[in-house]
Amino acid sequence: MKGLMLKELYITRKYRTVVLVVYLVLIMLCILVKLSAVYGNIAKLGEGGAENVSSVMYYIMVFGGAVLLFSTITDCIIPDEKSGFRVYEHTLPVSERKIVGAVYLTNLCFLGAATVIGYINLALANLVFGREFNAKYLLYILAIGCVFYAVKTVQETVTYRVRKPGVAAAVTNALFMLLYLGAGFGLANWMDSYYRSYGIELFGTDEAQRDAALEALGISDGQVMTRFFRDEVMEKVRWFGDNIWWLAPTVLLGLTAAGYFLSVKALKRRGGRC
Amino acid sequence: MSEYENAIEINGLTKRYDGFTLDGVSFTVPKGSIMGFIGQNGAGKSTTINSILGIIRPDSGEIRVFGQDSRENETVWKENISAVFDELPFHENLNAKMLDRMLRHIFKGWSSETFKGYLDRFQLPYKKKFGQFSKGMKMKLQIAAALSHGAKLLIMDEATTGLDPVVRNEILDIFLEYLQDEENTILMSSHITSDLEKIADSVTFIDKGRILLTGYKDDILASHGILKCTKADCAAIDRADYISARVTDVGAELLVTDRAACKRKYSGAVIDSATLDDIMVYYVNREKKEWS
Repeated sequence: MKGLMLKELYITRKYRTVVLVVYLVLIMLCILVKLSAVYGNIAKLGEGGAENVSSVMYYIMVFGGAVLLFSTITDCIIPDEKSGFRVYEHTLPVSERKIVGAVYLTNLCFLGAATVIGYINLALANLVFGREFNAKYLLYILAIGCVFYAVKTVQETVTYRVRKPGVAAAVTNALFMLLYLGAGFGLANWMDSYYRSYGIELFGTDEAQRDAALEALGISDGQVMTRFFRDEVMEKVRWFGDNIWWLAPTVLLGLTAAGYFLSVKALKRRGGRC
Repeated sequence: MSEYENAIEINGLTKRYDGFTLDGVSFTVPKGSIMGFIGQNGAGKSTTINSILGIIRPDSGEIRVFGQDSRENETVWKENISAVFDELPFHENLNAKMLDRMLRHIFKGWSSETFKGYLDRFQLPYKKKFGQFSKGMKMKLQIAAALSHGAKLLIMDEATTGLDPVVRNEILDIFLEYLQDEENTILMSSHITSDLEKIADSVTFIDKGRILLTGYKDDILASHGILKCTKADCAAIDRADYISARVTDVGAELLVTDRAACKRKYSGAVIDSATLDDIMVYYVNREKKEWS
């Protein structure tokens, strides 16, 4: 398995190096902007303006950096298919479990390494921007990692199942598009039921009628919307934030186990290649 | 590995695809020999080889490698085989140094010294990316990798196709060297029958998913012959005595399967030796019987 993991590292090394360089440039840029906010031109914007810019750069450094770091979770299933290695690997003295295990283990290693670097990055950002340590940010960084890992795991499993990388990419995209549309539809439905608690139908009601009804209740449409996001949506987001400590490992383990099992099973079929 | 007589034994191997069936293929590759596996494109050579290697699962039939059922202990017997394909199966961003490190952890018997020895012998660079290799260099690299873990069985699928004669000869010499050890065996599929005539001990000929001929090369070449006659004489020859006839304006050439018997039966007839190429072409046209 070590040999296959080395192959994963060698083939994706170029891509990971590029991502790492972009990450370092981003960090440098954030630090430079912070310096400018203290000593340079941005400081001339005044205390409020400079503080706002500084605050935005802090989040870019912490979470933008994390996004870049976690995008190093990749695989070489498609290059392997193109080079013919996926056929060749069946001639090697390695089982299907090890073939798939090498891919998943490499991903987990990168998830771990990117999380650690993300935490170091957070500490550096706190130091540079003079912020206090917020333990929740550790969980948020891990949550970003989980999302990247989940997307990759689903894509890898689909690729092993359908065997054709192009079709697998289309299936994965369609799957996430469905999820996205489903989430959008769900949010609209949720918003509608929230409006109903005010006795108003969000959809199928004229905007003027809705405004008039809300005015009668002494509240504006904007205020209802703000309350919806502040009380309803953010409550759920907070719930995820508070429970990420068990949610993340559960999602990680569940996805890894399901993906691994399905991929090994698919690889054992070996019917289509000729 | 227990004692075995044949490195490969195939019995009734069947695999069905839409538009193609590998139909009850059976043959054996004796230990310590080199077998040429010939047939035209789409005849079923790669399907057979992929079945042996476990790349595809056959619908029925039995494959024994080193005397053991190939479906059992795959990771054990695969320690002792090497596969060489017509295209390099490694990513173009890799180099020989990386490949050495990778395969060192995959094969228990991998020897970096042997691998580097072959690289030096083939004048292959250690750190140059495979993407910058020529076709000949890629093939030599595959062979270097195939021979560096003490494999007892080398299976090659169109490995010498597309190579110039100089490189091909160099590679054939390596194979003969490899076969100096009587434990080593080669199964080699190729279109280039002249290569097989040089080095093969036995030959198996497949066409449309069926085995037409299998046996020792010398026996096959000795028994087959090209009988040359006029068009009129051709009509007088028993159809059971020949596989097919190539009829042109100047006369006819027939592939006979029992050269000695035909010589006796048709006294005075000119019967030349047949090459593997001739045998392949005449057998492929056996259904037409007469062709031009």
